[in-house]
Formats: sequence, structure tokens, C-alpha cells
Amino acid sequence: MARKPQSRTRKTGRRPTARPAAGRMRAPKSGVILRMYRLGHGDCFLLAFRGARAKPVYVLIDCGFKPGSNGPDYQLGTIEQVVDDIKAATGRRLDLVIVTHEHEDHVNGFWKPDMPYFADFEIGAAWFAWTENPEDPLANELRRRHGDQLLGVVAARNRLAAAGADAAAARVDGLLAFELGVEPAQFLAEATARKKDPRASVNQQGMKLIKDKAGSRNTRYIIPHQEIMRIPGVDDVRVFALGPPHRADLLADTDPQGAESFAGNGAGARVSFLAAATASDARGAQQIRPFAERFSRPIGEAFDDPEHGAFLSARYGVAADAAQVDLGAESASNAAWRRIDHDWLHSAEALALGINRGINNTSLVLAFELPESNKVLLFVGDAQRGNWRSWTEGGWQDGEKTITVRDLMSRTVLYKVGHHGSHGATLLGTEQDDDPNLSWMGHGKYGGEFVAMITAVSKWAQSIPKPPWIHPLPSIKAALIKKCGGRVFQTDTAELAAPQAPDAGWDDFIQRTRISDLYFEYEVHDR
Amino acid sequence: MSTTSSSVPPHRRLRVYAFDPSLALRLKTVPIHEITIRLPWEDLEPGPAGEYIEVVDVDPASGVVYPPVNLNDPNVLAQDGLRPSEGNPQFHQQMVYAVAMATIGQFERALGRVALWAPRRVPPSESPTRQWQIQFVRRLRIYPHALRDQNAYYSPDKKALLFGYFPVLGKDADNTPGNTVFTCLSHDIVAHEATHALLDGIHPRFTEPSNPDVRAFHEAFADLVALFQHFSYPGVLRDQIARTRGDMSSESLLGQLAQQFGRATGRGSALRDALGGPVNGVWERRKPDPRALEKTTKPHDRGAILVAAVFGAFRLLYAMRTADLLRIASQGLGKLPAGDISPDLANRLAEEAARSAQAVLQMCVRALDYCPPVNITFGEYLRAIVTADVNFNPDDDFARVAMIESFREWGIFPRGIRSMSIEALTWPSGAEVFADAPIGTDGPAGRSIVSRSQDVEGAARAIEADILALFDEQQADGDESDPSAGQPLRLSKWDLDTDRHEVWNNMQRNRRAVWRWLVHGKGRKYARAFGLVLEDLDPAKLQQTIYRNDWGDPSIEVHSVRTALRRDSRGAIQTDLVIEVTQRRRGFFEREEQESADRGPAFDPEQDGDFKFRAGCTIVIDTTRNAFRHVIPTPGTIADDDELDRVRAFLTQADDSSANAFSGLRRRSLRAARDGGLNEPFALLHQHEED
Repeated sequence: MARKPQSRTRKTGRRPTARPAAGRMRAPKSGVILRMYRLGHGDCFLLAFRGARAKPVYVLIDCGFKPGSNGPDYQLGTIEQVVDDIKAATGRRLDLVIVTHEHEDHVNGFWKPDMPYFADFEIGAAWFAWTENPEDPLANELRRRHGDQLLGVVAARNRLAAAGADAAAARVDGLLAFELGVEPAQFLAEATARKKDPRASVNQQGMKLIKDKAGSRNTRYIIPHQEIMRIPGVDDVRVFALGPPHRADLLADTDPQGAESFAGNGAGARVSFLAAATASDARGAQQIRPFAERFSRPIGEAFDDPEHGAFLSARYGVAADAAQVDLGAESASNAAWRRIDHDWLHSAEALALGINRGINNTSLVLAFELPESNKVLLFVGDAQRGNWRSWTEGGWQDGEKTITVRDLMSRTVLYKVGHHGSHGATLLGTEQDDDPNLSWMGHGKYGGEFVAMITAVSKWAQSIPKPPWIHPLPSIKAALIKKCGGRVFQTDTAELAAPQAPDAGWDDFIQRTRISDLYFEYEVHDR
Repeated sequence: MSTTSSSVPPHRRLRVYAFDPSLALRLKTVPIHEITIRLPWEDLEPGPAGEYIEVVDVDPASGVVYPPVNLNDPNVLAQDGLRPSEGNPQFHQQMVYAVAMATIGQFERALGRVALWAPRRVPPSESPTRQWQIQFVRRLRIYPHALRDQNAYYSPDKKALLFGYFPVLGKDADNTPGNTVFTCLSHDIVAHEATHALLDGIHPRFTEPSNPDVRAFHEAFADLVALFQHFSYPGVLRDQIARTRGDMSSESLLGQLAQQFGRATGRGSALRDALGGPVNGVWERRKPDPRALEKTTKPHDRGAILVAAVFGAFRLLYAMRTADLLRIASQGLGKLPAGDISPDLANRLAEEAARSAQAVLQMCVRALDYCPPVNITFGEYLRAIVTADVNFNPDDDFARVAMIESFREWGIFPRGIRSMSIEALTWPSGAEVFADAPIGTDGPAGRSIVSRSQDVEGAARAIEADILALFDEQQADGDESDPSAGQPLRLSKWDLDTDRHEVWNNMQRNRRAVWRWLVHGKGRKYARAFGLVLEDLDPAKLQQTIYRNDWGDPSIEVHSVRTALRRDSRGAIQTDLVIEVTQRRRGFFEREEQESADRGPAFDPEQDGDFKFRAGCTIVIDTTRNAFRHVIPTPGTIADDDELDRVRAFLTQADDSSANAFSGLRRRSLRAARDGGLNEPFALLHQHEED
């Protein structure tokens, strides 16, 4: 039974006076109701399933945002408003909290040193990907490497900043913030003061809060394709984990195809190499020099070398450039513009990107299946290509029959779009392709209901300087709009633009949708 | 040449790895892992630093400098340079020098003129005129150990090649953890990067992607030069011919690029293979696919298609030229008996392979003079190849037919061409252009100088006189920003023997002389037929976004004036004049913004749009008959809105080649690009690809 749609509480350009109706969120008689919080450039989803004795069971998936991407500037909610709303909606009791992966924009809403947002919640259970399991050797190895890589990139970033390459340093900072949970400058200030380990990040603290509240007995580290799971307190909804793959190489996804022998080598190797080069202790740097010492001269002394100093001075610009160039003369061999002192540090940017992708690929990917209609809600976190491609590596035995990923995806009626709709986080393809992609979703009896949810604040992402972030990628957004017949929610867009020729289900879709400044509320009926 | 004992030697011999160090560690390839390259003798300073190249071996990541090798040291000279060694950086210096010089040699031989690097663009802050200027750069800088990365690139800003090195951490049949891979020890990577620099010296605008083919062309061309260079090393060639029994479509080192790099980065095979690649672990020849181009927009993938097409032409030519040898060797059966082929046959086949490869490579290099000045596409490159070959080998159709056949098999053809015949693909002559186009105007009145009804001979005579004026007369009027304004200028001959700086200076003077002839002189009336927009025929309609000169007319840039070799009907070598002219227009990412900017008001000259749209024309002048031998325009003029839309559509679409999870679009406005920090178009492209 659909409730009457509330009138929209917002008109463009004006702050709403009325806050959304505070009160318990009720689970529908059949199916699930879901709030996609408009918390900024990041994810926060609250789902209410119908539990035993009609008691609602609350599931929270992620809570985070990029600082600066929400609030009045973008006519969106703030973290305080969102937490208040979750409190009111759930009565401070979350039956299950799911954390997809350890990035600022998915976890920084849980905890902050001066504001432990979720401290007064009761948390029944917590689900993480196996990558968070302290007892999984592979996970520990990945985390150790992640820490090393971060140190390397942080060191390179400092050298870039010291060299005055501000734009490059800023780009690296933009990526580092995801991993550190705070702005790198702030992190570094604290780090020098307290010898801080990047692994003790705000992200980690937030995740720890969830684990502590749920208790180790109720904290589950999930390996995909292992069993069909149930939400505590909900008997009939089944949950399938598709990713992240329990394999190091696919998580890193740095290797081209046909390279099984190279488990997880790419970015890791490169970062360690760079880290060693940027290491402060001389021994570390010495170890990885490519040639025996007798072949080299330290750069500082080389210019005074009796034998080779003249060559260097003539060819490797120590002389300052003349303020004005003599156009008639050929360009000087020792001109400063030909030097390459910092070019190698620009690799740091690619490496930071590699780390970021690596963590995105640790995203826990879950499919929730409703009992009657068998409709599926697919939450992919920020999974990128490597994670997507691994989904089909397993299936689930359900009595006589096997449930495949293709089957689950074809029944999907709600897709949480990966990584703000970016390149590589929603794979496009055809239904016939062997690798999972958007075309696999939304088929069958309920295919016409298919909706997509993009957690992106485009305008904010565009404001990232040099170069701006393109979230969502127009080609992906266009593919989604086409696929969904216009049923696409995007954090920053309050108006649901009806397509020119809305299909027969459009009115029903609107009936099941409520929009406020704080969230999109959407019901999926189990029939 | 004198042969007295005191004269300098004609050559310097230097040892290098034939491919890369990995071949020394495989039994099959040990005999060919090292080759000796013969380079024209030049005075070398330590570095090595010569006329074209200076190797400066600083390694900022390690905080050290590797002292320069002195190749004139008698001990080094006497044994053809240092022994190939991974552990001695001085050998690395020798190798990059030798391979880069061999690559330059290929270019100079094909083009018949000295190679020049792209000039340095001097920013207004350092320029005496407070405007962008250019300055001669004599030497390409090579840094053999510049980066700690799986990367190597040509830096157009620094006029330098930067090579990286990286550790192998994987452990498998091809790799040992802890080893270091040096990209500067890969013959193919060095030749590839040097070619980028050479190409940039001829066509600086080919680094600006304005359609999916531009970047791909740069990559493909660099690969082609590296590939065909394999065929110029007789030992390697004979070995591989014998091993493959002369079959150019089976797996061979000749068709592969950068084996060690490919394996060390986890491919299990060479970085690129023009012939095929592993399919489920087994090498398979890649079959021509006429739809392949439609399926990809990635520069390396598209480039691979162009490489495959050219390599296919080489195979056709080689098969044709060796058919007789195979008949002889097989007693007319055409099929060789099993087992090793005779060494004599291998030698003869190798000879033919070398000859065919040389012919194809020279065609490809010469074609650079017959490309439109900007916005190159593969189809136009085919036309350039055919035109170049028609000019240089007028009597021998085989090579160009092989080229057309292979390109057709790969689905590469020029837009809007009526047939794939040699005649249709050859760029039109001036006479053909003037027969179709509305012919020249002389001033705003639009008065026709040569009209269709006039007799053909008369028209030709008129053109001859106008071209003669370019060669013989002083070009008087100057432009205000011209440093030589006021002084009369005369087109001077391109002298091959003088200093390269003098050659370059000459070219700058010639650019100005041609500019004056084209804008103020007798060349002006032809501009329209060339696809240039010099004035407002209908001032209200001409877009304000077109860059204009001080008196408000659309400005033109004579981009380059150089020579091209041609063989006349008697087989004598003639020198044609190649002139490239371009115009610029401000492009905007948003169509509405474009339309309103097009309407006006007039722009401040310093003001740019989001991107620059360029159009223009390459004109080849026959200097013996004083006629326009070829006119090679871009598809539209600078006022053509459809072409501008095409470029915009390309720039604003998603970019598969450099997309990552944050920046997925190709668009990057000029303003953003200028203060974006690292400006290295090839760095990103060459970064070991990851998904």
C-alpha cells in the first residue's frame, strides 16, 4: 500500500523551513523502504525491512561524505541533520551496519575526534568485507602494503610541495584525503606532532566504533560466494555477497590480462620503490640505487667534481637563465627549463590513484533479494573493474538449483551506482558479454521498475581544481537514464525529470518516491 | 672523399643490445642479442654530446649523477664502444646515443634534409618582444635514468627524452625478483621516443589531439620506425628469417616491440606485436579486421591498427618480391620442404626483406611532408603515403598498391573519397583544385582573376608568374609583429650543407617571406582555393572567434617552409617546396557559448577560448615548373562550423585512453591546462596502462 506522496519540501534556491517529518521509519508490509541520504559527495543509505512481529529492522549502509560537498551551499543536508534523522527514524537502534570499504566518503560520518556521531547508537551487528578481518593473512598483507604505499605517496607529496609543484601536490592531496580521512595537510601536522601512523586514520577510527558497538561476536567479515546470508531479525530476505574477490591480484587490478603470475604487483611494486626513494634514511635510499656506487657521484658534489664538474655545469643548468632570451642565439644547454629535478615525483599521482583504486576494489558488494517477487537490490560500494569482473567467479547452491550472478543481476530493480558514477565503476557492455555489466541488470517481469542511485554532487566535484572530477561521467549517466527510463536519483538533483514519454510505470514510481532536502525515500514493493 | 690516413673516419661503430638485455639470457637469441651500429662520424664530447643529441645522466630520484661516457677514449673507440652491460650506466649512455642517432639517420635519409627539433616556445615573460617567440634548440636532451616508473616519454616542453627504470618483483619464467628493468636499454623504446621527438620537429601540432587519430598516429608512427629499424640490422634479420623460414606472418622478434618491458610488466609477451599476440597462451596471427577501428578510441589500440596496416603492406610487398625465390627453392611448388632453409636462401630473403622494409619505412617518413598541417587522420595519412610515393617512385606502383590493399583490409580510408584508386588518393594539384573551387579573389571585391572559361594554358602561365614572384622578388610588406618589418625579404634556398642553426634561421626567414607573399603579395588570390580565410567576404557572417591580426582580418600563420624530394620522369631528384599554413579559432565546450562568441563582439587578441580549433593547408610547390603540385587542405576552413563541432564533440566526449575514476573526460580547457602543473602529453599516454 502506497502512502500519499508528500509535497516536495523544497523549491529551488530556497532553504526549506519545514524539516522532514521526524518520526520512526516504518517498514512497508511487503518489501523494503530505503532512504538515500543527500549527505553530499558520499554514501549513506538507511533501509527498513519488515522483521518478526512486523517490527522494522534497520540496516545502515555506509555513512560518509567529502567535506565541503554538502550543506546549504548545495541545498543538501549536513552530517548533523542526517545523524539526527537516523536517530529519529530508528530510535537509535541499528540492527545492522554495513561498511563497504575504508574511504572517507563512506565512513567519515561515523566518527570524528570531537564528534563521535554514532556514539549513542545501539548497533546489533556489523558486516565488513574480508579485507577488514584481522585474522585473515591476505587481508593483513594488503593492509600492510596499503600502509607502506601511503607512506611512500605522503613522502613524495611532501617533496612535490617542497619543490613548489603545488598543482601536482594538490592533486595528490585530493586522492590522499580518501585514504587518510582528513585533509593531508592536517594529517601531516598531526603526524609530525605525534608520530602518527597513516593507518590510525579517521577512517579506521570510525570503523572501529562500529566494530566495538556490534561486538566481535556480531561482527562479520564476508568472503563472497560462500553462503546465502540473512539479515539478523529478518527471516525471509536473502543476501548474496558478490565481491570483493578473496584474491590479491584482482583487488589491485593493476595487471593486464593473462598475468596470473603477477599477483598484486603493479602499483604495490611501484609505490614501494618510490617509497624507498623518498625514505628519509640514507640506507633505504642506498639499497635501491640502480648502480654500484663507483659509477655515481652524489648530485650535490658532482658539480665540483674535477673531472666531470665542467660537463655538468655546461649541460645541466646551474647558471640562472638570463631574464631575457636572445632569440637569435640557440637555446643554452644549461638552461633551467631543461632540468628534470622533479619530473620523477609526478609518478606519485599515478600511484595515489592506484592506491585509491585498490581500496575501491575492496568494496563489499551485496545483493538483497526480496522473498516473494525475488526482486534484487544491488549495492556495489565503489567497486571498480577488477571487482566487477570477479563477481562471476562463484555462485550459490540453493537446494537443487544454482543461483548465478547473472541471475541476480537480471532481477535487479535497484542499483546503487558505483563510485559516484565514475569511469570504470559501472561497466557498460551488452547482455551477451561474459563480464558483468549494466546490461545484465533489470530484466524480467520487474525490469521496468529498474532505478539507479548516484551518490554524487557534480558541481562540487567540478570545483576540484586541475583537473576537476567528472562525477558522474556523462556517458555513464546517459546510459543509466536510458536504462532506467529516467528513474535515476542523484544526490544533488531534487527534481526527478520525467522523460518526454514516461512509461506506464512512471506514476507508480512517483507514488513510491518522496524527496526532501535530506534524503530520497523510495519503496520497493515485494510483489 | 679523400682516403688519406689523416682524414676522419666515415663511421663510428658502437655496440648496443639488438632488442634489450633479456635476449642475452635466452639460448635461442644469445647469438643475436648484441649488434654493432654504424653511425656517421661526428665530433663527440663526453655525454655523449654531438650535433643532434646530448645525453645527460642525472638520476634525481637516487640523488646522483652518472659521469658521462667519453666515446673518443681510444680504449673505447678501439673496441666499438663499451661492452653491453646492464650494470654500467656509461653503456646505457652509449646505447641511447647510438639508437637515437640511427633513428635520426633513417629520417634524414628518407627526407633528404637535416633533422630539426621542435623549437623552444619562449614565453612572453622572457621574450624581448613580450610575445610568444620561438628559439632554436640544437640538441635533443636524453636522460637515461630520469624516472622511477614503468614509463618513458618525450617531453615537448623540455625537448628531452626521459627514461624510467623499475624493479621486477614478480617471479615467473620470465622474471627474477629484484632485477631492474631499464627502459633506456630497450632498442625499441629508445627508437620510439626518438621518433616522437623527430615527428614533433616536423609537425608540432600533431601533439594536439583534435580527433581520435592524432594521438594514435604519433604512437603508431613511432612504433613503425622502431619496428622497421629491426630490418636494418643484417645479423638479426638473417637469424629471424632462417628461424621463421622466411614466413613474415609467423611469430618473430622482428614484429615485436619491447620484449623485456612487456614481460616485466606482467604481459607475458612483448609490449606490442604488429603481427599478432597470445590467444589463450598460444601466439596467433592477427587477421585484418575492417571494423577494428570502429571498436576502439584508445590511442594505443588505434595506433596498433595503423601499424598492422603498414606492416601488412610490407608483408604483401615482401611476398611479391620473394615469390620467385620460393619457386626456385621449392622446384616450382611454391612450398618449401620441411626443415631449415638453406643459408643462401635465408640471405637472399633477408636482403629482400631489408629492401622492402626500407621502401615501406621511407614511404611512411616521406609521407610526413604530404600531410595536412593539423588534425591528421589515418585516411589522410594513407593519401600522404600514396602521394609521397607517386612523387618519389613515379614508375613503380607496387608499393603503393600494397599499401592501399592493406589499408583497405584494415578499414582505413579517407573521409569523402570517391574511390580507393591511386589517382583518387593522390592529393590534387593546384590545377585540379582551381578547376573545382571558386578561384581566387583579389581583395574584398571578390574579383575573379582566373575563371573557368579562361584557357588552361593562360591560367597556368598566370600561376607560374605568381609563383616566380615568390622565388625571385623581394617580399616587401611586413607585419607589425615581424622583427624584420620594413626590410625586404627574399625566399632563400634551403642549404643542406650549412650549420643546422643557419638552416633553421633560413626557414624562419622563408616563413616570413611566404607569409608576405600570401597575405600581401601575389599569392593572396589563391588563398581561398587553398581553404584559407583571409578576409570577410561577408563581414557580418565571419565568426568573431577566429583569431585576427592587428587590422581585424583573420590571421594566418605560415607554420613551416621546407623542402621535399621528388624524382622526375627521367629519374633525376628534384626539390619541391612544402608550405604549411594554419589559422586558429577560439573553440568553446558549450555550443551556446560558441554561438554567442561567434557573433561578437571582437575578442581581445590575448583572449583564448576553451580550446583552439585549427584549420589550414599544406601547399607543395613544384620549383622546376613553378606550379602548385599538391594542395592538401584540412577538411574544412577555419570558418567551418561543422568541423569545429566535430573537434568539440571529440574533446568533450569520454576519454577511454586516459580516463580514471576521477577525470574521465578529454576536455581540458586552455586555461586549466596552462596552470595545471605537469604538461607532458606523452607521460600519461605512456604510463604502463592500468585499469
